[in-house]
Amino acid sequence: MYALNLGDGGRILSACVVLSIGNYEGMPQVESLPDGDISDYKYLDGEYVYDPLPKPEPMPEPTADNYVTYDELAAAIREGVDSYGK
Amino acid sequence: MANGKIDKALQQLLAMWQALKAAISQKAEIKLLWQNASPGSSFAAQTIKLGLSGYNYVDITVRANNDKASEYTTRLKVDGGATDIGAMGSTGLYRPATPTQAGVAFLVGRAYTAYNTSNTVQSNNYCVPVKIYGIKGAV
Repeated sequence: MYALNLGDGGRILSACVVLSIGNYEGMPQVESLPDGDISDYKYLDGEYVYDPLPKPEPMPEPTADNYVTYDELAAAIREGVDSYGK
Repeated sequence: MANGKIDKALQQLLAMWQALKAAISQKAEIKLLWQNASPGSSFAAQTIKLGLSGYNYVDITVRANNDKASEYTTRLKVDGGATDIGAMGSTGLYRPATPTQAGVAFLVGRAYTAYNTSNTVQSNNYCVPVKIYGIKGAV
């Protein structure tokens, strides 16, 4: 048995296992969950309605341009050391 | 005279036993209060309603990056304010959580875009809560 935490318009925010000590007031209780990402569903009138939200663009992988070279790193360290006490 | 010493020793033993019983009765109690039934799903900002009025702390386990191998547990004080929970090491994935007596409010998960930066990106897939335990008594 599962309890659904619903958001606006019946959007499923999360589902939890119903435990004996829990308080699930106001949360619909269901026997099964939809396959896949449950946040792609709404729970309306006792039924699951597939209504996926737009997925965000994946984070771009860092490219070599993001990294400094060893020489640049060494120069930055040298600059920091030289500036000490000035 | 000997009986007096024995009597005194017995009195001390009785006092120690009563102190031990009192300590045992105040031992920490940990209970599973919430378990995510679909930990592989996205987890938007939301409040998990829990009756935490009798609990001192909560242990919250999250999956940093949607796999069981990346589970991290953080202990938070009830009514202790917002705290970033998750994997704060080199991966820099976290999710702010605020436990109150009414439950635990979660914001969206975040990830630092690079080492040693304050820039973050947000995702409902970062640091998805998996379990919440309530803790009573001494810890």
